[in-house]
Amino acid sequence: MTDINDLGVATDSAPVDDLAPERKQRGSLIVAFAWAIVVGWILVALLAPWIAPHDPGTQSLVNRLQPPGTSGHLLGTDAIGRDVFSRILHGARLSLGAAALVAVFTSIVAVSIGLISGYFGGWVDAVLMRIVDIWLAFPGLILAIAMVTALGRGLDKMIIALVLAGWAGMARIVRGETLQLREREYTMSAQVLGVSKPGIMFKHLLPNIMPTILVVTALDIGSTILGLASLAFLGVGIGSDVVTWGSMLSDGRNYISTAWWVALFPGLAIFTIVLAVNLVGDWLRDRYDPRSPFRRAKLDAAMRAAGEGQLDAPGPAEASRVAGDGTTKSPDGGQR
Amino acid sequence: MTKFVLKRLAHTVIVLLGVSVMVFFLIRYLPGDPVDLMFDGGDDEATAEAIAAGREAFAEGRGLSGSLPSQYFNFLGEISRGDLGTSLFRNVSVTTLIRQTLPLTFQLAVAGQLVNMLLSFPLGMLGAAKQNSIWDRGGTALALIGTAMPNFWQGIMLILVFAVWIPIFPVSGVMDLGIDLREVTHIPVVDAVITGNWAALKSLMMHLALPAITLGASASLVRILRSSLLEVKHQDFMDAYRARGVRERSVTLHMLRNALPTTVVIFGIRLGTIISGSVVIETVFAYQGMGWLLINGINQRDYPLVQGIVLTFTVFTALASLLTDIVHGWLDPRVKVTSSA
Amino acid sequence: MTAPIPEAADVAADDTTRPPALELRHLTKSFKVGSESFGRASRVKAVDDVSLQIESGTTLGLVGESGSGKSTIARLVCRLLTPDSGQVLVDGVDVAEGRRRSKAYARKVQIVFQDPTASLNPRWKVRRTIAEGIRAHKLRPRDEIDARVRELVDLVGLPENSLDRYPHEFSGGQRQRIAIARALAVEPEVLVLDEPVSALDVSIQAQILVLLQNLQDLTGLTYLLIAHDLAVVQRFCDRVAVMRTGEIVESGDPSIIHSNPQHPYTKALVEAHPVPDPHRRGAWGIKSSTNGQGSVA
Repeated sequence: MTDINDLGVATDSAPVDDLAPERKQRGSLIVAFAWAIVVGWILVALLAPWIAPHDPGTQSLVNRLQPPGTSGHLLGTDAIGRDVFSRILHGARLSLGAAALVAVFTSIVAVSIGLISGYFGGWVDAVLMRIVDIWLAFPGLILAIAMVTALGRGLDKMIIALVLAGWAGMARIVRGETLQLREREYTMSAQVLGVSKPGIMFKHLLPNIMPTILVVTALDIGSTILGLASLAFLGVGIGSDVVTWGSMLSDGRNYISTAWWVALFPGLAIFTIVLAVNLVGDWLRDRYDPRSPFRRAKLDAAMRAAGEGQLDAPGPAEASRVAGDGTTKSPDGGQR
Repeated sequence: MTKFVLKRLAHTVIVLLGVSVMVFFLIRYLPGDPVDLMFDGGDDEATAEAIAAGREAFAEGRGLSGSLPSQYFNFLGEISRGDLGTSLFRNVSVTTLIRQTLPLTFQLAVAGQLVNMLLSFPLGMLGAAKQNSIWDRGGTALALIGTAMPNFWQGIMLILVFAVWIPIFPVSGVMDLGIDLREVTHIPVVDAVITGNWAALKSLMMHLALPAITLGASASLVRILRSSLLEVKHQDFMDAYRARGVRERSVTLHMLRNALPTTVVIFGIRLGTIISGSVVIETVFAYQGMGWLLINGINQRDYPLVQGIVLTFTVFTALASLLTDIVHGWLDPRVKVTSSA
Repeated sequence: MTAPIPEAADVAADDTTRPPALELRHLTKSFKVGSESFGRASRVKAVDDVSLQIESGTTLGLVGESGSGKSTIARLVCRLLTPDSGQVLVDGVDVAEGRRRSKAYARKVQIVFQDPTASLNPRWKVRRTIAEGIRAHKLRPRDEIDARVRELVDLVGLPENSLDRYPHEFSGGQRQRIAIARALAVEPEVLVLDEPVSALDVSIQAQILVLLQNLQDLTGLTYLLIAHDLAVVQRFCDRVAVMRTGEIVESGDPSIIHSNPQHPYTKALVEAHPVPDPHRRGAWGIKSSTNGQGSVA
């Protein structure tokens, strides 16, 4: 099925009429700001137990639904008197920590399957990619919900569920990259030299797809955080016994007419971190993703200046190269 | 072209079969024995034997006994006949429930898609036309913000502003109570128009407004539209047009026409986002569509219902994807050539 | 220095000494072109019933234009591709015995590609690139690998400090030397050279060819040299085979092919590629020498 990666459209870095220098300046200011936010939240997540003024679980029916600014409660209290500010700080631990775990495990699964599929080709590739198709046929959140429902409640199960739900997209990207790298002559040289298949995968292919993996993971973290928050909001897989921004919003929804702050601040928190993470991801992609046309252009210019020709570009004979098993594959690695 | 369509069709069929297997297993894989989960032990005073017998009968009735492959084929048979089981909680057939709620979700999804297009197209085109201008920068920024904002938060904030502080729109629901609407197509908005029931239409629209805006604002086409338009704009043949003195307006038209295939595809891809989004947004607005029903079903452990809705959502997404693929192939002949499933 | 060059006619006759180092028998390979499913998959015969023999320690030049199938032959010989039919024999043994590409085969046949930039992993230091084969076959205990790598680098005429540099720090000719060193590291019997000098400057071409010749004199390697430039083939090869659209159209002694081409295609090829007078000494005039890179000792 058509996949955004097959289109050859770079979603964000488009050819520019001119790259005004001030634009780049301003751009880097924003990126720096974004990095600051990301680092800031990471620190918050790590230090929450120490910097939070109150215990996030302490209830106080006397103090319920206090507006922000009430003494001792910077952002007010919720329906059962818990301090909103402290809960937000603690909520960061789950949002960031769980998202990080999901990202790491999803990468591992996706890379393994993508590498095997791309390198071995043949029926292995066909079967695995059909499975990827089936996975991708489900609307994103729906699959996550289904997985979570099947696995049961609990943070650990939710993380597993999200990994299971989300590996397919990255696997397809990895497979595409692998298909390209497989045709590189240094890979073929290694084959002829007699290096074992796993050897080639680990020593030649994996290091070269690392940049792509890192960039894709970074770009995905934003939606992972959103997905986690959505699930928490819906009450699927995690109850409001755990401090999450999503469940805070769910509570806040019920009190929207009387206590708007209960819903505003957790949402703001999610918004700022996701925005920052997305901006950082974009920046990483522009800098490190070998597929990004932006980077390719800069790299080529640099290499030409050094008189070296193009680094890492496919060799001249590669255009007519056919795959090792005799079938023709489309150069963009599209699953077709 | 026919070959292409057939190939895509075959592919979709295979994928849907796979989907059915997955859904089948997901429900079977529930923690604990599905039979125990669903079977109410019945009368406390009944003997252990009677309970066991009742359990057996229940299991057989629900297709939960027998070998796994045979269960699956039963399942498949039932689905193809349109039988999605019976809701545990409401004791109605799942199909009926879906038939009641699907039109509501459908009209919300369409409204959301319209809002999205209304927002994205002008911004995207402006951005491509006046690259790097304040419009472009602003539009991109808006798009970035839109994708980073959790849609449920957006919805809640909209409720806060436009339903609580400035009470224009209703807070929740599909339509005001007490309005009678005759059902023709079962899609409320369409029915209201057909039957000339303007009170109903107004009520429906008011209830639809905030959810649709929320849905439309979060799935952002802007950046991609802008990119694809720019790609086309910078291609050589566009300069050829300009060199020949073709008016800028016509050039823009050509640009649009060439960017259309990509846009169509993005549309299709966003469909998944819209559907996922509707689940959340219906919950925020207590809009009793299929998404709202799904969450209810999960909380009530109504597994046949959950299974049926997940399946329905996925089938619809897959079919819409297929349609998008075909339209894309029709618009852009290159797709058919590179395509070899 | 070299053994008498056998005439094409002689070779088919009994070779009592030893089987040819490399033999291709009725090799055929075709590829699918166009959409694969729903019928209408046309096949293109890249290699059509090709048979060749190369005596040990000699060089066979395979010439032809682009698309003649010579690159496919290269890939078939080093088993990057499997033939549809026919056999590849090394030392008289069919290589298809056993698994598709057994590891031991790597010790028999190696390849040097046309583009030295693409054939070296840009992230690896030269040392690692050359050592890759040694490690893969465990040819030396770990503490001796370094010494061996230094030997090889010296053999191809590169200074020892090359080992800790990256490919992009070298010129095209030097990179090709690295590629040759890498191939020699596994001590093969046959070396397939897929247009090894086509991507290089003319002045460098001679150096590399001289190096290859010296290596052959030193080690008795058998070469299958693929090229499109008749001049290269003329100077360097003991025998020549001309390929066109998958078939061998003519083969024999290089100077005879040049002066008296039989097949119309060969005639056209010769006419298109003026070759400097083989009897005149100059850049091309000396076949094996001690000038330039690489000493025989």
